[in-house]
Amino acid sequence: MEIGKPKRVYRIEPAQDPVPRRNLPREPPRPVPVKPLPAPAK
Amino acid sequence: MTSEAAIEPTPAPDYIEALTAWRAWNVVRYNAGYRLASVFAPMVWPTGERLAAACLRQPRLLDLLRPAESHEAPGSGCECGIYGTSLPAVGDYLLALVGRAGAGRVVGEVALWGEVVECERGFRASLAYPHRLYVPTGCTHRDGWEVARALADYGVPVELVPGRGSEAMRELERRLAA
Repeated sequence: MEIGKPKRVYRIEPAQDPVPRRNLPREPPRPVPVKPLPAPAK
Repeated sequence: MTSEAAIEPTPAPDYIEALTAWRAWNVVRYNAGYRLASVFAPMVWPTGERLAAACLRQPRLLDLLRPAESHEAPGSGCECGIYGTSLPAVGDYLLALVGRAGAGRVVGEVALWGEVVECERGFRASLAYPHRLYVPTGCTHRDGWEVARALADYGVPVELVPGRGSEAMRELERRLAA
């Protein structure tokens, strides 16, 4: 692949890994807070 | 007591986000599936882990007179490293035929990081991983879906692009512009 002459050199240290993370254990589903139903009107 | 070497400051990175560029890969049979392989170097790209560059330059006649010192890739005075360039530049590599031993040729974006040599029309880096893959259906000797499914092992988005060569590149450019 012809990309020409070097211009400059730098260092990249990604804060986030560019390799996708796989086979991670799934987080258990979180309980969803449920509002109690209003009491039926009398 | 701390040694002098231990307190030397490490150079701060210039950037904290991997850059993305375009490149072409061969697709090769690997065990029961398919893997990406470099077009010029005998290098299969692993899934789930970064590819680290090594200098694979073949010795030249001049090196017999003055052997080149070994160095870490990418050497700024060498041609080694993992390459990335612009989308129009990788189109030429879709036109070239791949030997029947390979499953075809694909293009895509590659994440590059570590030591990076910026060149006039692209980059050479020490570390890389595919970022997004496009499988031109006319550039594979096998069923495009079969190749795309196998390349999903890399854990990055994989898309089929109809056509071959310049036709596939036009479709890809149209899709990216939309």
